[in-house]
Formats: sequence, C-alpha cells, structure tokens
Amino acid sequence: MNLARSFPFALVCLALFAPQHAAAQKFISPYSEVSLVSETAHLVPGETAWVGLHIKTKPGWHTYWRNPGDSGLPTRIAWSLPSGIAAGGIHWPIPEKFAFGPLAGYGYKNETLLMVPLAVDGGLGLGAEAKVTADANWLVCEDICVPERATFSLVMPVADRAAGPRNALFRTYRASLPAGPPVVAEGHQTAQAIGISARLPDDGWRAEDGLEFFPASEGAAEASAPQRIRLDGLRLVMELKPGYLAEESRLTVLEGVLVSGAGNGSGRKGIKLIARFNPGT
Amino acid sequence: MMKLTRARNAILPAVAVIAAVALAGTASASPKIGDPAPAFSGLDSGGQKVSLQDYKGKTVVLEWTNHDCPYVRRHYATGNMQKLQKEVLASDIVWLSVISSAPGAQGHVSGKQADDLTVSRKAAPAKVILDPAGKIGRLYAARTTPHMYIVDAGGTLVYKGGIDDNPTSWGEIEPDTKNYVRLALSEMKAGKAVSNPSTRPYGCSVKYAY
Repeated sequence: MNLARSFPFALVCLALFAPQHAAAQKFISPYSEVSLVSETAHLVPGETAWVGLHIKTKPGWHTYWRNPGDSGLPTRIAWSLPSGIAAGGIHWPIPEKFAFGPLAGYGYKNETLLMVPLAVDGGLGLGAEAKVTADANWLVCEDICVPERATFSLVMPVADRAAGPRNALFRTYRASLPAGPPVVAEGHQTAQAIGISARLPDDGWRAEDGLEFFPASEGAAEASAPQRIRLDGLRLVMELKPGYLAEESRLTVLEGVLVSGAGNGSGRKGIKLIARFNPGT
Repeated sequence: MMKLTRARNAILPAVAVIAAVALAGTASASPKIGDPAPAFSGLDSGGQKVSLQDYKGKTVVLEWTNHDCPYVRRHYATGNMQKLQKEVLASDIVWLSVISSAPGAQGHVSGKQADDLTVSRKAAPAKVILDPAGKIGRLYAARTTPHMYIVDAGGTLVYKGGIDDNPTSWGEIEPDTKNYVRLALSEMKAGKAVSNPSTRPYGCSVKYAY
C-alpha cells in the first residue's frame, strides 16, 4: 500500500505548515488536529524537558489509551533525536471508558496531551539547536475508525536556563496523570473472576465518588464487563471479569489505574496500582 | 470518509432488542480454547443456510471482516488475506468469512455486494456469512475486524485472536510478521499443538447492532 494514497490529508497539511523555528507543525484532518508542543522553548543540559503530542478530536471522536480496550490501538510515537537527548515513555493521562454496544474502549475524547520526558545530557553544548522529531501514529474513531500518521519536528535551542513562559497545557495535563508511586495490591485468579485487594493511601478515596479500574494491559480483564469494586475504609476489593488472556493463562502481574469520579470531569483522580498474583491461588 | 449513522435510533426488530437486553451491554464470554466451538447457523451471501456442523470432519477458519475497516483493507490491498485463503483452499480447509456489521453500519453488505467484493478482491472464502444481527459474532465474542478463529476437524476451538503480530493499518506486510493463522494451521497439519492458541485480536471494533 502506498503511503501517499493512504494519507493524503497528512501530506497536504504538512505541506501547508512549513517548519517554523521552535514551533510545532500541525496535522489537521476532518477528525483530528494534532501538534507536537514543548513545555519550555529551550533545552537545558542536565535537566529533563517535556514535550507532548497535543491531540484534539472532532466532537464524538476519540483516540486510545495505552490499553485501548476491546478494539482500537494506542497512539504511538517514534522519536528521532540528536545524541545527548533521550526520550522516555508516554505519560498517559487518566483515560475514560466508552461503550459501543457490547464492546468498550479506553481513551480520550475531545482533547488530550500525551507527555514525554526528554532527558538532556549535561554535556550538551550551549547555543546549539536540537531538532526533536516525532513520527506519530494514532487511530481516531467514532463508530468508524481512521488511522492517521504524521511527523512533527521542534527545533529547541540549548540554553543554560529555560527562559520564557511555560506552556500551561503541561500543568493542566500533569493534574490528570495518575498519581504514583503505585499501590501494591494482591491478586488472585479463578476461572470466573480476577480478584484484587489493596490498601489505598489515606487521601480521600470514597466509594460514592464512583470507582473504576483501567487495566493497563490488553486482554487481562474484559473491558466491557461490569466491575465489582468495594471500598471498606481504605481497604479496596475489586472483582473483574477475566479477559481473553486471563482465560487461557494465569496472570502473574496486573498493572492499572484506579480512577474515582465518573465521566471525564475535572473532579476525576487516579492512582497507579500493581497487583501481584500468587501462583498458588 | 463518510460518517455513517448507526441503526441505534431506528426501530429495531424485537429480536435485536431482546438480544441487547440479555447482553446487558457487555461482550459475551469468549469461547474457550479446547472446548467445542459454539455451534451456529446463518445465511450465506447466496441466501443459503450454513452451519458449523456442515463442516464436521474438516478444519474451519472463521474470519470476522468489514471491507471498509482500514485494518481489513490493508490485508486485502496487500493480497495477504487472499494468499492465506488460497493456501487454505488448497489444503481442503474451509474458510468462512463472517460479516457482523449492523444495517447502516460500516461494512454492512447485501449478499450481492459480498459476492462482488469476493470477485473484485480475488478473495477465496468457501462462504461469506451475513450476520447483521450480530448473533454469531456475539456467540464467538468477536470484537475486531479482522478477528480469527480456527475449529479443528473434531469441532474443537483451537485458535482465537489476531491475524498476525503486526497491529498496523498501513504498509506492506513485513517479511518477519508472524501470521498466527498460517502458523497454527501448519502446526495442526504436523500433528502438533497450536503454540499460540490465543492472541490479541486487533483492528476496528465489530459494528454490532445495538
């Protein structure tokens, strides 16, 4: 298959948005508007800089979380970076769940920022300009899905301090990351259910806020199945329906995010959870 | 790409409404590897009745498909799916393509359109089964297109999952791609157990009636 035929929009849009100094190119299609943004204009040797893929989707459309659920694909970014700069993984904001009939997906409606840390080597020469390039692909879906792909570049001068204003998007989206460190939980698996129990930190978790668990790996738990989640004081007990992987094999570990607050409102918060399964249970 | 309006708000046949209520918004349990594959019957693109039972004694490959899904399109545009179908046909294995897209949803086709697609894409399924109510799809908990299943000659489910280990919707099929269906069929032919009986299905969601 020929890329030019599959991605006419990507090519047209990128041609319209010629590279600019320290500014992202923008991808625009009928379904999404995506750009690469940085928190600070400069890179500072020895410090971590943050960049992010800023995705806005058409109303009713969404992109996917690291575990997309029953279908779909997570957004992926491949970096091309000058030596002395290393990209970390995507820091995924708390996702939301959407249902399509009997199937369910995990991801983001309207807008999200997928933040990535860039570790900048202490020996990087001041005054240089670093070209940060991201080859990103994402699947944007409503009922139907459209795969999209674009390459974005930012030119960031290396300076001894990050001058100028910080991009406020990063502050906003940091607040929607699940809190760490992960809560260590105990898992046990039967043919009918995956049981997870943990003690939550004492920071205001309440059953009445509505609790939902998002497993980080595909196939461990059925995305569309109801979850039984009880909170007795700080003691969390969850029961999930095994997904297609858990049906055929025993889980040893299950990571995920426990979220309180329904929908995608600003009152939502999440905490990372990592359940270890005792092989004997 | 045009936005398609789902039949969700249309007046659904009573049967579909009952099915939706019974399922209570969740995917039905996925059939288990090593268990008898769920028995089904439906209508093929020619309006003839097809049952899994008809093929007892033969290996059957089930392919959930939606010709407009970009993931499916890639496998047909590259000739990858047709190549596998022809290998299957030559090995006296039965390939059944199943379309569970609801009326009005992406991938929904009439029998004639299904046959035209088979011709225009030079595909080689033994039959194309039309499952607009999603009955067979739900029975197999098919969630994506493509989503593949293999039933052995004894009627046991021996494989369920993805077509391969390369979940993308563009580009040629890389030579190092592991096609799980081809691998499973060759293992079965050699009398071996299927080494990856359950893999991750990837693709578009099945456009069920709801």
